[in-house]
Parts: sequence; structure tokens; C-alpha cells
Amino acid sequence: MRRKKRLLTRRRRALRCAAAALVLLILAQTFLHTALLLPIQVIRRVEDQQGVQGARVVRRQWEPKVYNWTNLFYLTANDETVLFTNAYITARTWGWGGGHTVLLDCTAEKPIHAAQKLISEDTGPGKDYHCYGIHYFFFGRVDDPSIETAEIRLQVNPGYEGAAVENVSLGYLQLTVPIFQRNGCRYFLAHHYVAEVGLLRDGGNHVIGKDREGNTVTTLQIEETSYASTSVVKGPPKTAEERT
Amino acid sequence: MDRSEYCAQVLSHLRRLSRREREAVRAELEEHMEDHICALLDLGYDAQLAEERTMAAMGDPAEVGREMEKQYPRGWNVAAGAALILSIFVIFSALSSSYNRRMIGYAWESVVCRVSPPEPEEIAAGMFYRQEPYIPVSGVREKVDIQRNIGNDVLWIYRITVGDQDGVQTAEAAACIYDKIPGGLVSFPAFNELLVESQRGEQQVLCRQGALANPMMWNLLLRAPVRPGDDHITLRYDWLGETVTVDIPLPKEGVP
Repeated sequence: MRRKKRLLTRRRRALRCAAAALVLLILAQTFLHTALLLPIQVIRRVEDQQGVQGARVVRRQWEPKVYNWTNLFYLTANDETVLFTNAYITARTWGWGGGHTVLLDCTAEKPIHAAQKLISEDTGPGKDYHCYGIHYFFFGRVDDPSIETAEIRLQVNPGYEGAAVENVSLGYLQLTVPIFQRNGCRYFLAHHYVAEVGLLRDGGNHVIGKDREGNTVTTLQIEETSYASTSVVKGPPKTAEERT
Repeated sequence: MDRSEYCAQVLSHLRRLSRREREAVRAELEEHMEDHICALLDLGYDAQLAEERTMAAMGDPAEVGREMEKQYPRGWNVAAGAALILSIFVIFSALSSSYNRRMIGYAWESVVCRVSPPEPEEIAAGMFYRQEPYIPVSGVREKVDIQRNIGNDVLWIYRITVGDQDGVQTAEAAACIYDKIPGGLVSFPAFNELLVESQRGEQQVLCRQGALANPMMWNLLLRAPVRPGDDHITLRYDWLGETVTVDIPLPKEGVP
């Protein structure tokens, strides 16, 4: 006798479809590292690439002006490292991508560990290369408990005037950076945008740790790494007239 | 009202059903009515009366239709549709870009490498960053099987060759690094921070010239000068507080 074919219930069909989709998603994420549906998956992938294990997110900062409006910068840390990286939605990987990264090694005993990431907005390499501005990101970990405030000191070229709120003296632009505490450690993360290129000098930036009375506890030159600068290809920024 | 009219009226109230579901409902109703009619025929009813009584027993087709409609909630269909869209998205994202298609190849290579790692000549032939011509080490080759965990990755040393390389007695170990989980990414530092040294401590920093790399697997050629009497070379890794030291034994025949 021919057995009657039973029609799947809606519930069972939905569960089967969901299971198949989940398997496909896991395969794509595991083997192709694509179709990442959450920004934290990008961060974990970068940590894996950098050999950082057991890191936790200490700061997440939305910076829509860099890359695109979905762009998030993450500061993650474990006992030995602080990792600065980003994630944004991109068509290239059909989901969250990114991972422009600077890894800060904190294994040496120092009062402050600091690193920087420069992201320039430009036309891309070519004959008509033009840079419209640079985003400076400074981050690090403060290990000396006597340090209450951190100050970033950037070398500026003659002619730099800066905005009214900027503190420029003796050829240095000084940025006071708030220190925050997370998971028992103290960190800082600062963003500074310079619209005119060539006014800040490359390299030679310092971080200064100060105590409660404002006395300098330590001064440290911020190290440059090969991953410290990235270029973002963009069109020219809108003028005030265009914006209105 | 006959059976087919009754079924049509019931089905007219089931708006959210697919074609296959409609057919299943129709078959179920007809089967049910058929059973009822057969039972009445067995009791001595004539065919027309049996069908009339059956229709009456089935109840109001509008009410039956409305009640059956409740048995087919839309939520599961929405869930199935969403899962289908997700599947299409994943497949499209996996195959749409050349980068992803290359990643499929890399994933495959990283799996194959665990079973059948390449010989030193194959590594040399595939090096992307090699600036100088590869001069093979001609001499005694031996299989070794040394595995060490470096962070999330596994370093596997599987060949050691000792012999002459352009007039210099050299030991060359073939190794590969891969993630513990197939398809996982290899850490950059695992590669960049490897040092190989001879028994007398002559250090040589490894650089990209010594590797055939993809994001999921690296094949390395680790070389160090050796002298007669040496019985091993040493591999060192020191990164973020993690230190790994591996002594790679030279072939039993020793340095010629």
C-alpha cells in the first residue's frame, strides 16, 4: 500500500528553514568571515588575528564622520593589551566589517601606555592626491594610580592657530583627555580632528600624566606602529554654502 | 450541497493557506466525509441520504472554515520567510565577492594542511614575498611531529632537513601555523615574533620571505646555520607575556 505523504506543519517547516539558515550563517562566519551580523563579531575576529585572548570591551564610540554613519570605534582590553579597532557596515563583506586596528602592548611596566591611530580623509593615491583632513585617535591605559589626568601634546607647525577652544603653546597643541575606569583599570580614548593638513607634525606626539595638583608625573612619547595610519577615500567636504 | 461544494465553501474561508496546504485540507475533509458516508451506508442508508446526513453532521462550512483558519497562524510562515531571506543573503554574500571566493580556497587549504602539509619546495614555490631566489637545502630530510599552542593557534613542525645551502651547513624546518578551529584566522604576531636560532645562539629573525601565507594558515621555512655536533635548532616566540621555546631535533645522521 502506498503510504500517504504527510505535509509538514508550518512550525516544523519554519524550524527547518531556520536551522538551515543558521548552519549556513555559521559556516559563512567561520570559514569565510563574512556576513557578520554584529559589530562585536568584527572586534572578536580582529582580536583573534592579533593574538589577543579574553579581552573585554571598555569603550565604544560612535564616529559617523569616519568611514560611514554606522562606524563604531571599540577599545577592548585584557591584562596585557589594549586594542583599538573599528567596525562599520560595508558591502564588501555583506555585513559588519572594518578592523582598522592598533594593538598596544602593555606588558612592560610603565605608568602610562599610549598609542595613536591616524585616519586621513583623502582622494586616494593618484596624481591629484588631496587630503581633506585627519582624524587623530589617542588611547591607552594608565597604570600609575597617582595620575589623575592625561594630556596629549601634539607638535604643531608654525602658523597653526587652531580653534578658539584649543590650547596651543610653545609649538604644541595640548589636549586634556578624560580618564575612565573599567574592569579595575583606567583607560583613555581621545579623538581630535584637524581639517587642514600639514599643520601638525608627523610623530613626536607625547602623553603626559599629571597628578591631582597638576604636576607632571610622567611623559611618554607615543609610539608609531606600521598600522597607525589609514586612509579613507572620500570626496571633498561640503562647504558652508553647500550645507545651507 | 454535495461534498465538493462543502469543501469549496470551507476553503473559501482559509485565505492564508498555500496551494499545497489547501490541497491537504481538501483531501482531509473529503476523506473524513467519505468515512462518515461509508459508515452510514454500512448501516443501511441509501447513498443520497448518507451524503445529506454527513453534510449536516459536518456543520456550517463558514464556521468550520473560520475555526480551521485559526490552526494556521501566520507567524511561522513569517519565520520561514525570514530564514529563507537570511539563507539567500548568506549564500549571496559568500559568493558575490572575489575576496570571499578566495576565502573558500583558503579555508580548504587550511584544512588540507592539517592532513597533508606541503614539502619545503612547495612552500618556496608559493612564497609571495620572496625577494631572493630560493636555494634549497640539499641533505638529509626527516619527518618530525612537534606541535605547540601559540595563543589560539597551533604551530606544527613536520620536516627537518640538514645539509648544504649555497656552501653553508643549514638546518631547515618546515612548519605550519593554523588556528585550533578549522577556518579560524592565524594571529599576525604568531608569525612576526618567531625567532629561530642555532645551538650556539646565532639568531635569525624570521621575515615574510620565509612564508607562504593566507589568513587561515601559514607555512614557514625556519632556517638556522648549524655545525658538526649540533643536535637541534631552537624556535622562540615571545609575545604579550607568552613565551614558547621549541627545540627541533636534527636528523639522527647529524650534520654532515
